[in-house]
Amino acid sequence: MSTSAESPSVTGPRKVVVLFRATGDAPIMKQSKFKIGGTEKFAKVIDFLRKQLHRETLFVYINSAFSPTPDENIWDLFENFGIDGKLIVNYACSMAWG
Amino acid sequence: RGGKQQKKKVEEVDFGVITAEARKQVWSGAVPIQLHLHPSEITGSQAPSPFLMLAPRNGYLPLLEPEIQQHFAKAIPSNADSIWFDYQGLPLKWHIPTGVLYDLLVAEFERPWNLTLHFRAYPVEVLTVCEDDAVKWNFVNALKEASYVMYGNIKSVMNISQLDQVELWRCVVKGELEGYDRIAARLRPGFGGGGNWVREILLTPTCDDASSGGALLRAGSESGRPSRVPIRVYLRTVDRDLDDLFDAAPVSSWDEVVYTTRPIDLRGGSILTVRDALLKMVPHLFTRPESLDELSV
Repeated sequence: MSTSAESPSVTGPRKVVVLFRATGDAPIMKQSKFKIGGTEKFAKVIDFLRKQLHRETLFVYINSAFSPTPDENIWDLFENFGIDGKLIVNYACSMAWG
Repeated sequence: RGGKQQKKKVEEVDFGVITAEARKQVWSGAVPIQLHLHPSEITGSQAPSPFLMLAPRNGYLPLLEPEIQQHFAKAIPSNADSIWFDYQGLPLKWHIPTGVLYDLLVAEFERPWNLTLHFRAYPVEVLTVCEDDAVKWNFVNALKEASYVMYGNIKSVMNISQLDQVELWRCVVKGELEGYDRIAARLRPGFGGGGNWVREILLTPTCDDASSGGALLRAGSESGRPSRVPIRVYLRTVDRDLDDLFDAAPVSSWDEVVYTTRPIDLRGGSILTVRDALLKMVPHLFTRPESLDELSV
């Protein structure tokens, strides 16, 4: 892992491992680990989940704690909230953590 | 000699007073905006007159809806979508505070800020849906995200009572700093109401040092004193060299704007300036550190 002070735009694209976890009655995905480019926005993760789960309305959280705005950069989220080299993304079909 | 005296005076000023004054200024700041209904949405024979109003810098555009609806009452179609705004064709992201939008998108001085208002054709491909309490939930989530960065958990935000949550949001909507502070104080674990943690950090010697931090997530402290503050920098990229910022074409797509969010470590005891934080967050923007030193004299 490279140092945290570097910016992804300087060092080129890096991948982030995203781990999906279902919450409440949300369907569980067969594959839960995916790689995504660090320069992508969180919107890409939300879109991906919508397509995988065939659902329009989804509630998506980081570390069972909060929903980032769709504009947030994946690498930033990973750096700020990643655990053990992964970005943990929880998804639910109804609001899970008010 | 006068300069020296002034410098000494500055050092003696209470940091708590400076912080309070700066926050008051930020909270009372506003952008005068002038709203024009989009020509395609004019139904009558005459366009409704533009609406001039003050938009709090610290607020969000959809929160102005009640006043806007009043002014444009006759022009609102029965099949209206959520209200939205564009600036020179760029749909404005409602979750970015109004003051940030203005500073980010307006290169040349423009007052009032002329925005186009829409009641129809919500651009779902550019903007997230803004229905029901979306603006409030966006705020609560930002609060949780910030709490996570500062303390390593969101316990304090989750534990806030329903009543306090309603009151906190009311204060944001109305721009009431004192009321906001009263409740926000409870969001700092260990600080049983009141207390200015910025001042505590600046005045309390600390034995923590950055090397003991390890993973950022574990840096959150239980003592109530945050070891890090979340800072977000919005960057507008321009694809060619410009002599003058004013020569830049208006932002035509949100792809030209990126934002970086980083926790900035407060440990180590020295005073952290905005410049220090920017050097850490966007080092590639500072290619000639020597010229920066000259500027800071």
